[in-house]
Amino acid sequence: MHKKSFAVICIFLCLFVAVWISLKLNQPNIEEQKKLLENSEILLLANQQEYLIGLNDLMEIGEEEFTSVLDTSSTNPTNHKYTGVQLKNILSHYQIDLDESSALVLSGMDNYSVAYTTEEILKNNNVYIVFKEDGNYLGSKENGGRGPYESIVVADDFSNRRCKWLTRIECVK
Amino acid sequence: MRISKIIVLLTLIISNLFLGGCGSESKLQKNNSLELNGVTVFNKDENLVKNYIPKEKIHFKELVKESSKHISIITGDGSVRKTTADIYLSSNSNGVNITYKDKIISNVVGIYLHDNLYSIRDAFYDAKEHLDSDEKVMVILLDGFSLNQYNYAKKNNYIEYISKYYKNEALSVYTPVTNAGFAAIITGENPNINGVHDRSFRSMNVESMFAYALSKKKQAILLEADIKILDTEIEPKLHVDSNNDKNIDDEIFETAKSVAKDEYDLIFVHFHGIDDRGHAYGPQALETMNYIKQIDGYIQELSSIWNGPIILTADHGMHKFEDGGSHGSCIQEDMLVPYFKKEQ
Repeated sequence: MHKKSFAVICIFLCLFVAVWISLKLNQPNIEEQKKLLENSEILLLANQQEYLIGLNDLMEIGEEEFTSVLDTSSTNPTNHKYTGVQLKNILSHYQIDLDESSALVLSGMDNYSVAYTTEEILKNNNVYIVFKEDGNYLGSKENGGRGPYESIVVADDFSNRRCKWLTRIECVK
Repeated sequence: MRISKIIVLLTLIISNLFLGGCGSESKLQKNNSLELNGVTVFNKDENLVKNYIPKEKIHFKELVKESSKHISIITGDGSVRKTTADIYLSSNSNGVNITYKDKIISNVVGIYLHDNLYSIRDAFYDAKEHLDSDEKVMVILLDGFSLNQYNYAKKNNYIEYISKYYKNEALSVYTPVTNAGFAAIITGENPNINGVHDRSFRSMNVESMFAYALSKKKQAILLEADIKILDTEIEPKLHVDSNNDKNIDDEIFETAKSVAKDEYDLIFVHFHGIDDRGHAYGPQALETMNYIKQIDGYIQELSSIWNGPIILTADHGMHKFEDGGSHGSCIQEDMLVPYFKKEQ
């Protein structure tokens, strides 16, 4: 083989390997993310009862897909497709009556909290607990994600009432 | 030879794809480095020079003729350094620099001319003084209430009650947004020290007045709207719009009246409605002024219940923007707010 052709083949192979490694490193490890999610639970506190909710529980209640706006302090607003469960359906599944609650306080593992009115929770297709964004699991705090779970209020166009890294939901009077 | 040409072509395509993947980051870095933010010079009344980038080294007095005892240099990382007007300004690719006493301060975004430097950080020290004296204290944060709004409201009789307790103008912090201003008020430190620079920061590097109160075995409560803004040492009491009137301040006010009768030593109340209306209608719009009047009434009523001193200030100001208002720039409208203190 001509020396020039051999050199070009070598460069091509090196570049191919570099691109392949780069893609592999950046590709989200779906199985790993799913495993993390399966081990993660949300603590629901209502009427002096405690419930631990995991991925399988959410799927049993019934996952749905919807579109919502993500607007962060460093990015422009963009629409994304989310997979999750309506919070009102979760409450209904555990037979939690909101008659005596004025609000629900949702907290993340970073100690962030946000309060939602019972009215906005009971509104159809409005408040969701999500675990996928654009088909990918949200990822954990450690790997730069906003999951495993995040709450989303669809009516909130500025997305500043979301609770990422969600770990706790409490019904308050 | 033909195979070789195909390989070269494929190599070029893959190289392009590979380099293209890195391109977005490079572009971002390039764009960021090209962001030449100029410096704004302001006093308590107006902006004297806006977004100025010196082409060559210039003495400050050549730029601004107005004399004042002191100036404070505000940098992009939130530091504030008080000095005299004997400074030189220059610029490079990183922004505006100031040279004084053989020191160079880089990334300068603002210069504030003043005789006395008052800051929203004073709220921390005033509250601490009361706690040290075993006195109860209430701190009220009027989100987005600018000095200009206060002056306009006072002139037009929208704020008759709290204007009696006006103490001085106060410098907010850079970036003038809620997280940074709120953190400065409760920690007594600027963002370069407390670590809260803008809306993306929630954790503080230093302890707040709540930690101080707890260390003194005092009872403290923080009344917030529906979002916990900072990771404070005490959990805030969150509120929602229970009566669906598109406003949460009324619910916060009801709680404030209730806890004012309790045994709290430190009550921190965060009203949000002035900021909401400033954004929606403009800082001096009729809707905003009427709301300031409503808040003035809230504070008068709280004063009749609360048997202790009250400190009032704002996290940031507000400037007119399109049909409404905005904030977040190092300009007089956003950086200066009023400071009130009602003794017992």
